[in-house]
Parts: sequence; C-alpha cells; structure tokens
Amino acid sequence: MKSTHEGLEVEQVRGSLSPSGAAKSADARHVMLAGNPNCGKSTIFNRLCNMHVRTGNYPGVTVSRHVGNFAPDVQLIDLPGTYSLSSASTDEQVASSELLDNDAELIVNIVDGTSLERSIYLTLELKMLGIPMILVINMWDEVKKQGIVIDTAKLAETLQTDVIAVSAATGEGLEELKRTLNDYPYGIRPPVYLGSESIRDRLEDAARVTPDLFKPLAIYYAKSALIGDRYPKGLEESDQWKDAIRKAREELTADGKTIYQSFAEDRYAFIDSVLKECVGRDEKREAKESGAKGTLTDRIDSVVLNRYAAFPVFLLIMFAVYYISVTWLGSIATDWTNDTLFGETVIPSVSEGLASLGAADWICSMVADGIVGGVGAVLGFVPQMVILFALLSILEECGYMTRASFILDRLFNMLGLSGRAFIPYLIGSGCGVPALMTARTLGSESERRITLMTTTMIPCGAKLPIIIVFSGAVFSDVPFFAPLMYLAAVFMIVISALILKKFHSFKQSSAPVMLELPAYHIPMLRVVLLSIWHRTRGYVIKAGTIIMPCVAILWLLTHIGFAGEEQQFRMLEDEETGESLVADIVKPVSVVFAPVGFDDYRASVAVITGLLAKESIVSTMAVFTQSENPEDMDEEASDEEVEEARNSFYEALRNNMFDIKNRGTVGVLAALAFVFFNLFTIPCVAAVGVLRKEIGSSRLFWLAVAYQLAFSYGAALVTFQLGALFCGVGSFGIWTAVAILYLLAIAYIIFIKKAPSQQEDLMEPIRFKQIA
Amino acid sequence: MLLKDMRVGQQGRIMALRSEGLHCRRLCEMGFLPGTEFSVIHRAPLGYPLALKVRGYEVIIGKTDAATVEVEAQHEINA
Repeated sequence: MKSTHEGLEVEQVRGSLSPSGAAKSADARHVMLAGNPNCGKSTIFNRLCNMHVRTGNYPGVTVSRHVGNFAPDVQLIDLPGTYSLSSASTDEQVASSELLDNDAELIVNIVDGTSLERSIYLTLELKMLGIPMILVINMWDEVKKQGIVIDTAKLAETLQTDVIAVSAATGEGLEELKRTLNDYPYGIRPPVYLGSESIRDRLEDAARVTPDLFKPLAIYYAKSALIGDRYPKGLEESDQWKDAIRKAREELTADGKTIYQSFAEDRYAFIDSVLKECVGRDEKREAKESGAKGTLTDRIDSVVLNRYAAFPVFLLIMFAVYYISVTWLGSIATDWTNDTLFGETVIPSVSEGLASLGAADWICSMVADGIVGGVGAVLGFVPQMVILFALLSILEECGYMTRASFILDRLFNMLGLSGRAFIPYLIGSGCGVPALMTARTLGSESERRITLMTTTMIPCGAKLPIIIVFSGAVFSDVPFFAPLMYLAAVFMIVISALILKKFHSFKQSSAPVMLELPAYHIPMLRVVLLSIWHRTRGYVIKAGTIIMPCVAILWLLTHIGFAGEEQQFRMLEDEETGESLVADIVKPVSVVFAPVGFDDYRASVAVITGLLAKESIVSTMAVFTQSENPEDMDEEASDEEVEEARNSFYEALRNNMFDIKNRGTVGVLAALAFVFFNLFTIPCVAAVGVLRKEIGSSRLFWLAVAYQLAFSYGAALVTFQLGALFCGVGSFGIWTAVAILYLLAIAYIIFIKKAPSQQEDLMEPIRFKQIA
Repeated sequence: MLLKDMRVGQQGRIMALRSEGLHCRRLCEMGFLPGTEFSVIHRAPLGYPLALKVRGYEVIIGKTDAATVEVEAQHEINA
C-alpha cells in the first residue's frame, strides 16, 4: 500500500476508551492469534488473558494488535482479522506485518467451524511461514447445532497441525487450549505448501536458490514474489532466484489465467479434498433444520433485509436507539442525578461539611460551586451514558452492523464512501477515538480520508450533555431538539463528503466491497455489561483527571483579577467575574466569535475548554453560572426549589452567555450557532491525536483541522447571520455577505465543480523494508 | 451472464473472473473461483450490493465486483 502507512504497521494506537494492554516484551514467547475477521479471536483472547478488549459481531472490530499476558513467559497477541497475508486495508496490514515480524513463535489460527472451507484458505497461507501452529475450531456449539460433523483427528493429520475444538461463547474446549499452550513444544517447523505438486515444486525450486539470509521464509517469499505481492528487496540481488520466479510465473500463467487465480484454485481444490475427507453432515439434524424453514438468521433477514422493509426497519432501529438514550429514558436518568442526587444531596452536604470544618469561605465556594458543581455537571450524565453505551453495545453484538452497511451501501456511494463507513459513524456516536481507528478497515484511501475528517461531527457521548443542556435552557419549546441535532450532524457529514470528494486528495478510488454477513446472536449479558463498564469508566475517569483540574483552575481564574477603580490584584466577589483574569485573557480572543454571535468571553472560554474534552463545555458553563445558583439550599428543599435551582442555571446560561433577555431572537440564534460550532468543529485533543496518527501525513492532518474549523465556523456564521436576516431581526452587513458567499462557494463545489477522474486503487507491489 | 444481473433466489455457477489486481485478489481469497456454486439470497433496497451464499457462508458483494464475475444461472431454489 501507500508508504504513508508504514508507520502504522507495528505501532499500537490506543483509544482513551479501550482498555490498555500489556506492552510486547522482548523476552517472552509471542503467540499470535490469527484468523478471518469475526471468527472470535478477541473473545478467545479475552478469555485466555482475562482481558476486555473490544468485541462485536461484525468483521473489523479489532484494528490494532492487543498484547496480553497468558503466562509469565508467554504473551498472546490478538491480531486484526484477515483473509490472507496479501494485505489490502490498514488493519490487515497490521496482521500480516506482525506475523512476518519473525518473533512469532506460535500461531494460534482460529477458524469459524461453520465455514471451514473459506477459513482454511488462510491456514494454508500460514503453513508457509514455518511457524508452529495450533488450529482452533471456534463456534463448536454452533457446529454441533447445525449438524456438521468434523473429524478433528483426521484434519490434524492432513494439515500437519494440532487441532482443538472450542466454543468461546460457552467456554467449551478452552481448558484444553490452555493446557496445550502451557506445555507447547516450541521450535521451528518446516514450511510447507499444501496444494498441488506443480506449484509446490516450483516454490521449492525458488526456495532452493534463495540466499541464506531469507531461507526461513523462502517458500512464503517465493509465493509472494510469484503473485506480485511484497517481498524483501534484498532477494533481487540473486539472479538465480529472479530467474526461478520468472520461469515459474511463465509456466503457471501459460493457460491465460491470472497468477493469483491459479494459486487460489489450487488451494481451494486442496481444501475441497480435505473437507471431503474430514467433514460430514448429520443427516437427521440437517433434515430438522430445513424443516424449520431455515435458521433463525435466515428468518430475521427475510424481514430486516427485505427490499421494502429494510429502510423502515433501519430508520426505526436508529430512531429507537437515539430516542431512548438521548430523549426519553436518558433524560429521565439525567434529571434524577442532576436534581435529586447532586442538587439536593451532594452539593449542599459538601458545602455544609466544609463550613463545619471551618474552611475559609472562598475554599467552600471553590469546592462546592467550582469543583463539585463543574464535575457534577458532567457526572450527572453518567446514567445517560450507560443507556447510550448499552444500546450501542447491543447493536454491535447482535450482528446488525454489517446488515446496515449492506442496506446503506448505495447511499454512501453517492458520498464517495462505501456502506462499511456506517460502522465508524455509529461508533462515533459513543466516542470518536475508536471510531477514527475503525476507519482503518475501510478499503480505499479516499474513503478512509473522508471518513476520518467527518466522523467526529457525529455528536459523541461527551457532546450529548451540550445538546441536552441547550435543549433545556434555550430550546425547550423546540420539539425533538436533541434528535434534530443528530439529523443536523448527518446533514453536515453529507455536505462535507460531497465537498471533499471533489478534491484531488480524496479522488475516488474503488476498493472491493466484500463483507461477510455474520449470523445473528443474542448479545451476551456479560459482554454488554463489561462494555458499558469500560466505556463509562473512561468517561468518569476523564471527569476526575481532566474536568476536575480544569474547573478548579477555571474557578480560581474567574475569582482573581485586577478589579475596582485602583486595579488592585485580589480575590473577586461572584458578581465581579467580568473583571477576572480569565476575562482579561480571553476577551481579546472572543472577538473572533463576534460574527457568529457568541462573543461573550464566557462562551469563548467554554469553546476553549471544550477542546480538552467536549463535556467540559458543560462544566465550564456550570462554573460561570454558579453565582446564580442558590448556594445554601437546605436538604428539605422542595421540588419547586429544585426546579428553581435548575431554572436559575438555565436562566444564567441564557442571559449571561447569550444575553437572550436583551437580544431576543438574536440571542437564541447565537446559542444555536454556538451549539453547531461546538458539535462540528475539531474534536477533543484525544481524538485529534488519533486523527493525526490515522490520517498518515501531516499535510492531510492540518488540512483536516483547517477544514473542520472553517466548516463549523461557516455553519455557525450562516445560522447566525442568515438566521437573523430570515427572522427579520438582523440587518445586512459585511458578515451577512460573507455568509452568503460561503453558501455560494459550497453550492459551486457541490453542483458545478468537476470531480477528479476516477482512479483504480491498484495494489502497488511494494517491498518489505529490508529484513536484517 | 454477469453476477450483477442475477435475481434473488437464483442459483448459479461462476464461469470466469474478469477483474484485476486487488479486486481479483479479494474475490479469489473469498473463494469466488470458476466452478464455484452460489445462490443469491438478498438484494439491497437500492439494487446493490447483493448477498450471496457461497462455500457455506454468506457474503455481500458490491456492484463493481459483481459486474466482473461471469456466471451461469442454474435453476431457482424457491421461485
């Protein structure tokens, strides 16, 4: 592939929400878990190492390697799924480069027992590496249920490898696998090509003349060179070797077939002969199966993938997920924590506790209003996060993700993407970091770039609090405000993709669209709970490590400054924040936001802290508005008082930051512009860091940042300026003209500008870095 | 005929692959080879991709790739 990916090959990018694994240590034995996508590698890995890396029922969940300690001197390495070692997408490259990294001492090749035929294709490829191998047949429970009978002893003999049947779901066979791993006789095995003699002999001819340096992988390199795949450059110095390869290629393509096809046919012929020997069917079971009118998956798919029902079902599922987590159940949960838990219990008792300890007033105020108020504003959304993460996790586990890709493929084609891009966008509604990494699974370079640049526009879990707070404070009379924000995000992504695909860097290239449809299964409760736990924990930890120091510093900065007529540097009263240090620092910057209506310095501070973590926007607003909060609400506070407290936070938000009381509609438009800008602009630092790694070149990275800033600012500008004009509350000024020009430019790019000519994304045969 | 023109419910046999490079490679890896039998089980609402059952598993294939696979239609499974 492109050289821009070289850096990714061995580097592990960790998301803030994915549990951190062990580091690869040089003196431990390395056992690689390899196999096709979605065959259960990560589930087995989690079981063997007691870890909790992300799993899901769709191909391409694992995109980087995970290292886990199995025994004191044995490390397991979970690799992204791949169909062969001739890698296409970035995640597959991670897998093949790890396997060829010559420190693998054992390969655990995991195959899906219900589709052995395709799975063993990779097994044959791995046999060429000369690394000891255990073949693990997963989904054994399903194999039995479907009436498939596999003769594991015979399979072991034919493939010259250990064979163990397991079921990661039920735990069957895992003990045997552990035992085998514990006392495995390591060592080097002779690499073999399992297939017809005509190909084997030719590979061996080339292997014989391979220079000693490359001898261990000679068979594999000969195959790679033959099919035009990558091989070490040093091999080219041997004329004998080059001659052998050339001769073999001429002989194998004599009948006009492509060389790759000859190889595949040869291997599948071998597989067919093996399976004929080793796999049978339990006739009785099979009869029962077909009597029940197909499997459960078939029956679900006959509705879910039905030509007419597919879109309605898809929209219903999406609406249900976001309506439940964002509006209905989510807001019930959030109201409870914010009002009952924090409003009535935590904040009053903290201030009382501190006061009784005799703490200074300013410390009481800082802790109770600044820290507890600010962090509490974020933690109040935890129950809502739990609901959102639960629903997303169920969606990922049940097997619907690939179906959604299938349904949406043609629509995504219009945006220069493929249906598979749906997956990063959906994951992005939980957190942008894993979403950006999932973009690795996309086939073409252009698709990956467009997805990377737009996927963080989907409101992530941390942006959800912004939407909810504004929907309560400013847009309470707009029905479905929160779901509308998600639709707005989809609209912005569509516009962005339509713009981007017109530029050279995103020239459309075609990649094969071939995705396996997994069978549905009911999500395992354990997996869903673990996934909720890990993702929520990430959110809570962030509240402690980023939000807390952030609000503490912010509170201090808003309460010290040069105030009064003599401009003396001192502690300020709550109502003097306008003269605080933070106001002095930020006011010059906030001029930038004058054209979009939110040039109040407090709004600017929120935008800036939002770059650290998006939920920090809400905590910042809480710090700035606490002066309006009733500070000494006693524990017997009535419902009306609580309501009042919340209203006063909302009041403060409306009138401090956006001055809605005086500006009316203009203020409301400014608030909407503020929401748009924060939703669609550059994501938090964690996601920006991942974006930088994943996008590959620093030119593209800066382009992405500039694009996101300009695009979100433009969206805010159009909302504020043209919104005001449209509502008859604004006058035509220079910025109105800019907003109109901005829209015209977008229209020109989308409707008139010609797209760069299509380009085949052919695999360039590039070579390995010299292997020392 | 081409794979892209097959109807849902039809069975067929692959005759030849007319693609190159990455596309051909992926088809071969997934077991789409001359002589391989398959059936078309779903078609997406907007026409493509197709979902096929081949070699005991189910896979979706996009229009571009389906247009490069030459097939021979056999009988229908449940008309």
